[in-house]
Amino acid sequence: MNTTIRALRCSKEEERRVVPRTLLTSVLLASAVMAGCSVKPTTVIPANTKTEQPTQAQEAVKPAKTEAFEPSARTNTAYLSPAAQELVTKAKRYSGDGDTASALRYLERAQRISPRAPQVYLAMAEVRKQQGRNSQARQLANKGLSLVGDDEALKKAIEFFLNTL
Amino acid sequence: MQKLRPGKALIIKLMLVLLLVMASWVIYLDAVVRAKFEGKRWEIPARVYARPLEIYNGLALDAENLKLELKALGYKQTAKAGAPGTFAQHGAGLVIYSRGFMFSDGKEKSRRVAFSIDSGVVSRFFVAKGEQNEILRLEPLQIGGIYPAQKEDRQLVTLAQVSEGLVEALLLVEDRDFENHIGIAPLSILRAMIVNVKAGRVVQGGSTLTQQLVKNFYLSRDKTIVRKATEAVMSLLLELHYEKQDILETYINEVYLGQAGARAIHGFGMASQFYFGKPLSDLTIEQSALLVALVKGPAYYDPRRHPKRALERRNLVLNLLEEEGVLGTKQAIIARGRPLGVIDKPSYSTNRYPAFIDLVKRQLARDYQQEDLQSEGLRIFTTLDPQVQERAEQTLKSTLASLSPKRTSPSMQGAVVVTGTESGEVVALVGGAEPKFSGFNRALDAVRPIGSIIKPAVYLTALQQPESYTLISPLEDKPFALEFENGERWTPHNFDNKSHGTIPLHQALSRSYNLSTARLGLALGVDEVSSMLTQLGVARPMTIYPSLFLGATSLAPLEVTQMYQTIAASGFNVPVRAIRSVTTSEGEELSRYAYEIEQVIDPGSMHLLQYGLIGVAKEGTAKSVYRYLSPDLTVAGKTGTTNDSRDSWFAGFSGDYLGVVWLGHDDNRSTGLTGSSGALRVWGNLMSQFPQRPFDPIKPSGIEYYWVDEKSGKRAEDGCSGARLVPFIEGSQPAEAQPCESGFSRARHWFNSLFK
Repeated sequence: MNTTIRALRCSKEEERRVVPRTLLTSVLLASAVMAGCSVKPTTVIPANTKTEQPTQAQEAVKPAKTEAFEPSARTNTAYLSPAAQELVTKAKRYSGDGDTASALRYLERAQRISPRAPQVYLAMAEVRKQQGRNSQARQLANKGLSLVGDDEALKKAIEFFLNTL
Repeated sequence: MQKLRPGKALIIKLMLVLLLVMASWVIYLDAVVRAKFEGKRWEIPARVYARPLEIYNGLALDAENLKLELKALGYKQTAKAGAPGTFAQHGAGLVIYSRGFMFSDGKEKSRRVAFSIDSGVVSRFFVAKGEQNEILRLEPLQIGGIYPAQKEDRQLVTLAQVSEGLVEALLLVEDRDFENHIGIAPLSILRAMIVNVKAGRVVQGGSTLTQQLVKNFYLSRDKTIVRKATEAVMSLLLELHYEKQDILETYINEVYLGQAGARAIHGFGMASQFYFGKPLSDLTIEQSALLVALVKGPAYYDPRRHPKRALERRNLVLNLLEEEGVLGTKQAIIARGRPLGVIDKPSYSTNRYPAFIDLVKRQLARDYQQEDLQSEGLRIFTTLDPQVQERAEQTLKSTLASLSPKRTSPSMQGAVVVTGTESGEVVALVGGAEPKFSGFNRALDAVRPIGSIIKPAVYLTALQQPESYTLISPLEDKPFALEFENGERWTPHNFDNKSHGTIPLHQALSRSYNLSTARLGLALGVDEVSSMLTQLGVARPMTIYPSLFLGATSLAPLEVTQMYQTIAASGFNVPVRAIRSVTTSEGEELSRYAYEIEQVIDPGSMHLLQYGLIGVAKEGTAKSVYRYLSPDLTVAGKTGTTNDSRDSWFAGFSGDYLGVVWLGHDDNRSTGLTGSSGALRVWGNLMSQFPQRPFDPIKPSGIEYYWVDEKSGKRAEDGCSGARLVPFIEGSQPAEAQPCESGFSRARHWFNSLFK
């Protein structure tokens, strides 16, 4: 199994650098993970430019092209794009100042850019916790967990956060 | 004392009465003048905005779609994009000079940004001018308004926001003595009369700005002596009570300057947006002059319909400015030489997307009074993506046209809902074949039988019982009859009227077989399946009969969207939303509709269902979707066809978009289409127009993949021929293994290829 799955995980060094921080606050930890570990961006499939009507002949074409397909994040963390990262960083600044409403606005923008990056959901969960909305915080953290794949460090971070609720 | 003669006394009495009447009249007018001037002067309609487009490295974006949106925003394509509101394109390279916008999280300043679009992805993002950060947020497109009955539209401005040039031009042309007169100016009237008699036509009006304001503000349009007198008295009263500055500011916001369909454009602020697509403070002198020129007759001098007349009158205003020394000769010559610079009629001249606005209004009605929406100038920020919306409308229309040849009735209808796969934000909503016509909103109100698109609920119910069901559990696809206590019989059939023997569960789903699904449903129980539908977010009450397993329950396309949203978002219920926030006209946030979720399905069984739904597209009833899409774009979905082909459904999602399409006739006639020959074509056509990310389910913990021999259902070796890689909830995988019988054949199967 493991041999067939493309491993897209942090290098050992990076993991070692990240893991000890799980003992610090979850805020610190999440940003460390974001800075420390990122994976290949999800491939965007270009729009079809052909405009002609499909013909019967095309129907016969085998649907699945086997070679070119390259899943990006089947078992690992989805990519947090630098643009989303910038918004998450700004959101942290707002939540640090106690402006949780602005923080959430920025995080929702980040979510639209990287809708499957667990870091975004963890950050949202932290802001919800800050607002005293613990049950929503739990839901968001669970969402992050469902997207974490086998990124063990991030998984630990989210579980740590869940334990603090 | 001499007694007055009766006649004289009567006259005096009469005069006294008359005086009293006059006095009361003036007192009454005074009250009228003050009440309106001091109260709420105008009803300002709410403005409805699309989502702002955000551009950054890695964004999936099609250049043609982008240009469509820039055009709708009133951007002009130039060689260099040297001014706000312009853009340039050189091959894959684009430069956009944004205009800036006041968002609820602060002002997004005007910036000049360059980037490339390679294979549908933005790269080499570079800020050439303005704040350095990684995201360009364009102004949101105004897509509609919520208007009061009389449909006046205005954008309030303060005097400080109006350029000096505009004020000077206005006073020069309309009321030279404004600063000095007392509301009426008899001399001006006399002068105007002389000028007009000399010219033989009306070239100059004698009314002061105050009179014009009174006329528009308080009075009807009939031209009678009484009305003229009333106008004069009210003008005097207005001047008596208020400062010149207040009167001028009110005038600037009141004056009528154009017509957009049924919507009247009032005030210079709105006119500036309407004619130039930018705020008043950004206008050049000749643009200001044009607005002033329009005061005399917005229809007669309409710069779009009568550009020659408009240009002449504008230059007349510029001449006046030059004569009075407001403008230097050189400046005046340059200004007169410039074109009118009017943008195409803005797209929001009427509500451009009535079906979507309808959804917005319904969601707003929960929190806001209709009256406040029509009068307080609220700003409503929605989730609509105009690029997807435009394409969805076109695609539905053109596909319907290709599906209904002229010999049959052309009245086939349809509806489309597109949301963000994870966010639940409605990015497009089409309510019928004629989307610009606001009639019956089928996306929200066409409650129709859903057919096989219900089946995922049946299979998910089964997959939640790993001790009894896995993706490879054998199911019987054989006919049966169910007899009810009242004597009725239920004998379901397969679409092809065949039975398929014993087949694995994933295949019964991907091929959408009715017999095996109904048998599975009966084994699970109707209550279990209907409760699963409720968990997935279906709120409408349903009939609890076994026919439910095959979709004999009715839902509107938006409700189907909510159900599939939960599946696409991997078991998290995400409310489908059309509004992000509502702010006051000043930008203060009144309410926000935040992203909130609730986990309703465990991730393991949902992962198995998603595998099954990818199979529908890769090898099942929806495989024709790859006539439209690149084989690399993994999507998941389900087709649905109801009895006699009355309804054709498709619900499906990629990594970015979830789309639900329904086709049918309003009178329930047969369409002659299946889900895959009808709705799927609309869906595939639409999705093929947007670069996007594939649907890439992430393996949750507690799930393991095993090679399984398709025939025996036993575990096989890695890559055995006739084997497929199947996910199992840990512990539910087949215990027995068998060696490779007919050798290895790597990546023979579609799912295996996901892992290569």
